[in-house]
Amino acid sequence: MTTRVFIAEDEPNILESLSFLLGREGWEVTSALDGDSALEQLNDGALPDVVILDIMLPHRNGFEILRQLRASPRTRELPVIVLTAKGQEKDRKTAEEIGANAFVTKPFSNKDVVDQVRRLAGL
Amino acid sequence: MLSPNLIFLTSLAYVALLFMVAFLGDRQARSGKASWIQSPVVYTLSISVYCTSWTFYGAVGSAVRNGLEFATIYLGPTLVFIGWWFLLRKLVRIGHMHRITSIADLISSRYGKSTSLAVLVTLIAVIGTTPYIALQLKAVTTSIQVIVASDPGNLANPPSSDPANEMAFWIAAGMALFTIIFGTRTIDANERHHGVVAAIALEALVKLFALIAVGLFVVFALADGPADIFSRDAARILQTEDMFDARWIALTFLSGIAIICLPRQFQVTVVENTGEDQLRMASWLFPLYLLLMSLFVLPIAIGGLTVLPEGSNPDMFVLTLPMSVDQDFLVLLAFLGGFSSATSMVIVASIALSTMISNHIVMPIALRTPWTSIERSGDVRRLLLISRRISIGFILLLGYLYFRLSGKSDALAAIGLIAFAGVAQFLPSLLGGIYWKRATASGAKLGLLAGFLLWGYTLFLPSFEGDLLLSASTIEHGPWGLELFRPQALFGLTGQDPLVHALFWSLATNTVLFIGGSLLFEPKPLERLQGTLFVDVFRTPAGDEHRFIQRSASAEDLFILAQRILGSNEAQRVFREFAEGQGLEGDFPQPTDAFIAHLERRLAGSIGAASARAMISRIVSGETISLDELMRIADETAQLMEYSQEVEKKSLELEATARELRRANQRLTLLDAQKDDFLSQVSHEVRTPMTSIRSFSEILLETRDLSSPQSQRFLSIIHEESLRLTRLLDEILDMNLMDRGEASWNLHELDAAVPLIRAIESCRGLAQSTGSAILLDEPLPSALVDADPDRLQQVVINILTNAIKHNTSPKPEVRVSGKLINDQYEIEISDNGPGIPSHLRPFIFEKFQRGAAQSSTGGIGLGLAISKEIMKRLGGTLALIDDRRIGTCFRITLPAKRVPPQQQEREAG
Amino acid sequence: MRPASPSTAAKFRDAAFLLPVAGFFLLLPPVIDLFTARVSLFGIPLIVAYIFGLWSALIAIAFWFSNRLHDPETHAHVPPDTSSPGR
Repeated sequence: MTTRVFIAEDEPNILESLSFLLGREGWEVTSALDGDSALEQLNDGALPDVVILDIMLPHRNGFEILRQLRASPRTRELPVIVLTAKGQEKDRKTAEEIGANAFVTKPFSNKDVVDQVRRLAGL
Repeated sequence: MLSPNLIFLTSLAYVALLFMVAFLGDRQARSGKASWIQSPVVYTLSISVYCTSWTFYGAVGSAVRNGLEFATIYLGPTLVFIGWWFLLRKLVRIGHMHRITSIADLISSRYGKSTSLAVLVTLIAVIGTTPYIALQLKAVTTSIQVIVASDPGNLANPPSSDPANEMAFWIAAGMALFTIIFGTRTIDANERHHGVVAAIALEALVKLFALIAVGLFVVFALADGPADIFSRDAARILQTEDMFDARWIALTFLSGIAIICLPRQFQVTVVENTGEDQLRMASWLFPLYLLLMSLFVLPIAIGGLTVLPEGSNPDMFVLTLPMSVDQDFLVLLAFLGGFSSATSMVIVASIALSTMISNHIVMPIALRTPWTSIERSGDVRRLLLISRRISIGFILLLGYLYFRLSGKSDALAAIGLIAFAGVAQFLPSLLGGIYWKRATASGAKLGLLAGFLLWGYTLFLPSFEGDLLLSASTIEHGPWGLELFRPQALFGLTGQDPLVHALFWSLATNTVLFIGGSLLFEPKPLERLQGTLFVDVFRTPAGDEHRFIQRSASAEDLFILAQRILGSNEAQRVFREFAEGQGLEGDFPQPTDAFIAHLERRLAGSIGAASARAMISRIVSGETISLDELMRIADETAQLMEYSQEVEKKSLELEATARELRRANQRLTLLDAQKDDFLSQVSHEVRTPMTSIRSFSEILLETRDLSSPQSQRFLSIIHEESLRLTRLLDEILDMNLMDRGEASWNLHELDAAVPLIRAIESCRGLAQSTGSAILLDEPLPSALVDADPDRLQQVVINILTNAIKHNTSPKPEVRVSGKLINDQYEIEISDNGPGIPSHLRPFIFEKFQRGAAQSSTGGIGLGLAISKEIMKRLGGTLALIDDRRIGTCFRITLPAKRVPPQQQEREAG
Repeated sequence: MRPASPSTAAKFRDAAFLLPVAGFFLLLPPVIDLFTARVSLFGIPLIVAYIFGLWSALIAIAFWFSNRLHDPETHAHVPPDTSSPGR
């Protein structure tokens, strides 16, 4: 089974680089450019193996999406990597509290992202 | 028929009763149980010492001779007492505050604690009172003689004089003894004589009771009621024509003065007063007493004229009427009444006068003669006591001498009026002193002296009918035959009643010289001070005067002095009290000015203000400060007030500054928060392009087998994002400069259309690459504006760029139009893009706002914020037009003027 | 003593000033001369009745005033002297 990674990120360039990175590993990449679309895709359709979630999404705060994911039984156990330009301690804590599995700050190291995905996908 | 023995025994018994009452009163006062002595009723009764044997006997005599005139003697005091709130109250208040011991003390204290003034007042008082005492002796002796006259029917002629003289002597001696025993037991710190007051109150009741008894007897026993009495022929004494003349007015006025100025009245009303509430009741109770005493005078007078033989002595009707019908009990009662009235007057008067003599004559002399230096001799108090006792004897001796010398046929009333006129000389200085601050000692002395001399010349001496100083011929024709200076018709004022005449000249001259003297001579500082304290007694708190008197002394010296005058116990008490008040432990207070002033006042309560002052001055150094000093202090006070006002102003300023600082702090805190927000925003905005740059750089570095198009693509993204980043940093700096006012502005007049067209041109490239169209509404009006062309261009470019970048419609279009309306150049840039969500519209000009649903190639960032700021700086506006449903429309406005046609041609294109 | 309001107290003070003044004038000619007619009031000559009647009235009014006069500042009276007996 190919590992599927879902990326929710509104910056097209960042999405492109991430897609390239993960694609290179042989993983399948699906994405959404905003929060509503992301929730829709995650709630319906096949569950991915890992979610990369940008906090600063238009219309919806990434934390809020994470909460919703954790609130729904379907997506409760879904591994989520939170991606953010704000790297403060309190954001890290909030992410942890809500139930994020990993926390990556932009600009990120490509290797770091790939390693996290690999880990959370259980590979 | 009453025997002499009975009279004698009754008198003795009565005197014994008085002694007992006085003794009890004193003892209770000492043990602190004598509150009844201070009751307003007792106080009022003691004031009725005003009614002497002149009232008891002489009023009837006066009624017979002069009809209703007798009433004036009681109407005057009535008026003064019912007006107590204004005059008497002030006197009482001053008396309390300044511990006044006598009328001489009051006047002396008021005029700078002047010893000479005190001496003058004392002398006038003694000389003026002497006839009055004589009158009492005369009344009593006559009454005794009348009663024991061998022929009861022969009540017509007064008996021979020699036994009378002897009797008078012994009576005088007896009175002196009583007074010495009860008036001079101790020197009360405030000259109160509680035992005497008690005895006097009893005597007041006795004489009232006696007179009313006789009156009732006459009206209802000898006659058939009031109507019957007044129907008698003798009622003609009420000759009312010419009754109410100058003499009537003068007598009313005079008696009103007397109720205050008579030394004995001053003693009981002011000195013996212990509270204003006493005066409150006395204000109506005393007039009531007077009314009751006068009620039966007319009936008795008429009755006497009707019943008794022709030529009977009307002064004795009160006795002779009951005697004529053998009402022995009533006769005895009447006698006791008369006796009471006489003795009470003599006792109180001699106490009052002896106090004055000892305080104002003996003490000053003692202070001045070296061999009675106070430091060496023992108690000052002993000296005072002895001098008082001797004075009492002396005063009674004088009274007796006057009695011997005065005319035998003088009516009692006439003698009394001479005394009234004498003490009336105090009035100008007294009234002036308590109502006029400018009154001076010089004025008082001049007035008093002149008034006294004139009184002596026009009234007192003539009363001796040639036996003293003024010969009979002088009285008749003036000195050395100078008619103009006739004692009873001075300066041609003839035909006047002698009393009115004397009163007029003495008081008029007195007043004129008093006022003149006060105005001509400057008051000394102490006079001024006392003047203010006295006149403003209802406003100034006690003890303030020490602020104007700087003195220093040792507490020990002060204590020695206090002991000498107040006695050891009292002195200790005073000192300890004050020390406590100062918050010190132990028995000695700090000898501050306040304490010295306090002590001086206490001493004044014993020896009078002038002597107290003299004694204190001997052991303290320093004096009343001069006028210059006063002015300096006043200046200092003014400076102090100014200073404190300054301080207040400064503190208000300080408060205002503190408030400002608080506000500034709040603002800074806000700004700090804003800075934090800004920085976190900036960090975020910087990280976003950095993420792409880093990521793609890493990809390019690590991946070996990237295709060329891919590498190209990735590199161009890196490039693009670097540009984005650079732009962002530029904007940030620009914004910062503009915020701080340091941005470069190149303002000049230009045609607004020019930078607009240039901006459009520079955006054509971008528009082409995104497939958008920029449509310009021709013609574009020209107008002169004051602006920086580059900045204006920047704004237009910014908006155009946004419009192009965020336009996601299939056929993206940006429309630009311009118009000139009302001196404003308006540029509108609209597009057919998705528009800005309404909930974001208020915020689009904020820094770092996302305006579009998708922030594809970079957010709006600072662009709009900068543009708005630029427009603001140029004096124009940048606004989002809110009424579009499709797309977005921005409007730029600038103040403008129409360009003249030829310039328009030149600049366009 | 019933405390009076300041304005009432002031009115009393004014009236209290007028009382002796009025009394004085009522006892002077020409007023008093009005009553010198030889008339009797219940057997008492008019002038006698007038003088003593006026006198009584003055006393009565003084009595009425005496409890209603107060100090403007303190509404209190001077306290009795501290060095008096019974203390």
